Amino acid sequence: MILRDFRDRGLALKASKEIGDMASTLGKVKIMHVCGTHEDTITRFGIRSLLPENVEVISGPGCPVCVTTNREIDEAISLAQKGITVTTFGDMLRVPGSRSSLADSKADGNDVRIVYSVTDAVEIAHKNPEKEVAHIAIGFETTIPSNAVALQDAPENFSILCCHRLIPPAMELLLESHEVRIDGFIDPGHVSAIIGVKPYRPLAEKYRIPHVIVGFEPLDVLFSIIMLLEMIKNHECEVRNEYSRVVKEEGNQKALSIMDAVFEPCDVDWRGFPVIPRSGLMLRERFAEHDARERFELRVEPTEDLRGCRCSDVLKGLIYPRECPLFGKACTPKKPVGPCMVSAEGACSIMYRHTS
Amino acid sequence: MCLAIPGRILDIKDNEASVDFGGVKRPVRIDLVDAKVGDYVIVHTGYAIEVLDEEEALESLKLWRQILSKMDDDPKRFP
Ligand code: SF4
Repeated sequence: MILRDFRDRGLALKASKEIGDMASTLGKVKIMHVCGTHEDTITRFGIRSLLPENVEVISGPGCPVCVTTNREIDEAISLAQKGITVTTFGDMLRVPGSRSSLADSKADGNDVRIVYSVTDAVEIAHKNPEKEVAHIAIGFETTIPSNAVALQDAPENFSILCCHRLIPPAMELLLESHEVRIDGFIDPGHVSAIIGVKPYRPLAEKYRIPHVIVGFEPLDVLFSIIMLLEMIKNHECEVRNEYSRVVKEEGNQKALSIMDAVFEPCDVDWRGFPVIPRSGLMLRERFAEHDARERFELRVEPTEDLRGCRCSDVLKGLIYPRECPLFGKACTPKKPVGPCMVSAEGACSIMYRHTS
Repeated sequence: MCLAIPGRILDIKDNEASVDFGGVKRPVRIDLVDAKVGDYVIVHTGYAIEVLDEEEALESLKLWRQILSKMDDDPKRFP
């Protein structure tokens, strides 16, 4: 199908030549993306090797599993220990909390199940009315609407541990902190399929940084770099949409309104980041009985940091995974120390898989 | 996590569609989109999150081909 054309080698080489040509008139350019799937495309297709030396693409806080905090993992484990059936996406299973992981909890005999969709979790609750089922709801705007749909007619014994997060507030925090230099943003295509083009505009204007919303084929990424370089060259700070085959200006209105009916924004911390205002979600009053934190009165002890792991710096784009002293030595996908090595979308795991 | 893949809708029953992912058929919830049989949808964790606009895809590729080949033909750009 047409998508194969977005992998056309000849066109990719032309694009890369064009990037080289444009970059030769510019100084150092640092572009950040905030999506694990972009990191996968970039690493898998060797896109960094097609870029001139002065153009760098770094990865930001774009992996929902990775930005989930120890506190949330500890909460999930405590649910399982209370005898509640815990459903989770597979990636979360081996993420270490303060002392152990959900996988450890499962090995101890607790009822922890992997699901591929929230629909499967609701189904488990339907089929086992005598059991309490709590779903670990992680994910950005791409995933949130599906959980909102599921909650609208969920059975009484179904609840979620809400760990959702919103991307634009995290981008803003990064820009505000000035910890890392960013000259342009590759905006996440599937988050944008839901939220549309608008939410990035205030960021582009306030911080004077160009944005391009980008798809996930190698040519998408290369085209977006051309678009960004052009804006950088012309000192333009707009939000352009490279992924117009999927992303509409106003986003997916249906999804946004379902999301808004079920959730409201709240302040939350991210792994590697302080509390970011209005970057999290909580259930609205009407759905409070499906909130696992309230329902089971979850109170976890203060958490401990993962010793030696530099996920925080990886998530802020301050270092490449290879710069972590544990990378590939004490920390591998088989024996991960931090979440960035566990999740298929974690920068450390992607780099390990594609380069080792 | 935000991985979402395109598939073509074969059949729709209420809020569930049967979607063809290159030969593999899977049920997909379509509560979040207005889609019809034959459409390509972008599917994430069992839910279609948007309809893929095929014409737009072809159009944008055509445009890029033009832009990049013009650059090729321009002797000033690539001496
Ligand atoms: S290599 Fe392992 S320990 Fe180092 S930052 Fe990545 S996940 Fe953490």
